[in-house]
Amino acid sequence: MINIEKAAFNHRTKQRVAFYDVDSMDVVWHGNYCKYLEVARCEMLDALGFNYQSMREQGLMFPIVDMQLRYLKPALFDELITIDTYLLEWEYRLKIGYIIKNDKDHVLTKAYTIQAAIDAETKELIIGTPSGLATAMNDIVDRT
Amino acid sequence: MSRTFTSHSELYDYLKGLLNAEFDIDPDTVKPESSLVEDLDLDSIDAVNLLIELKNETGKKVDVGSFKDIETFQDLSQTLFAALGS
Repeated sequence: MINIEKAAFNHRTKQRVAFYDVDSMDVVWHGNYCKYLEVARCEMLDALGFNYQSMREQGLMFPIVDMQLRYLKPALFDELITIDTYLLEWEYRLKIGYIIKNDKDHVLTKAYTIQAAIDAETKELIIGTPSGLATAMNDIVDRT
Repeated sequence: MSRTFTSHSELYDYLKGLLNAEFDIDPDTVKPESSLVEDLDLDSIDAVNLLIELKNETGKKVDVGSFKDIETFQDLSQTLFAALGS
């Protein structure tokens, strides 16, 4: 589903499962994993030095256009989960892979999200790499 | 892999195969005048996927700027062939 060997950058986020995230079966409701991915993704982009604010300053938006999650085991209330994020693609789009594990190192969830570059002014999809993004990402990848 | 397309027809046939592999589009239904949106049901996200597959195949990054002026399959193949600089 995701090949983390190809990752240009990776980051780790930890989060404790809150009561309001679980359903009547005491497991995290499937939709709430999207929030975990969002938090992890924002932390990874911060670590990269190219977060949503940077994108906005360059006149870009990066909405999610595609996403897939595979639920292997449930995350439970009060569990400390680890969300490892992997930057898989950045030239034409941002593809980020995720592996969520519990504190026993069991893989709970695998996922990926795809974000496309949109010109903030025209709201049109940018085919290819926006120049600002290419410069920023080349610097980042060279540093890592 | 770093394949080189030496002619437009070679890339044209490759793209037909790619549409079949990626989107399950019957190659026999793909005509030069086929509309990408109306006939082939492709969207802008699909177009980005095609570029990524083409880069994986050729090792070349293809920047076409925008797909808004590309209406038909023939437009697509000619634009990509020109962009590849083959």
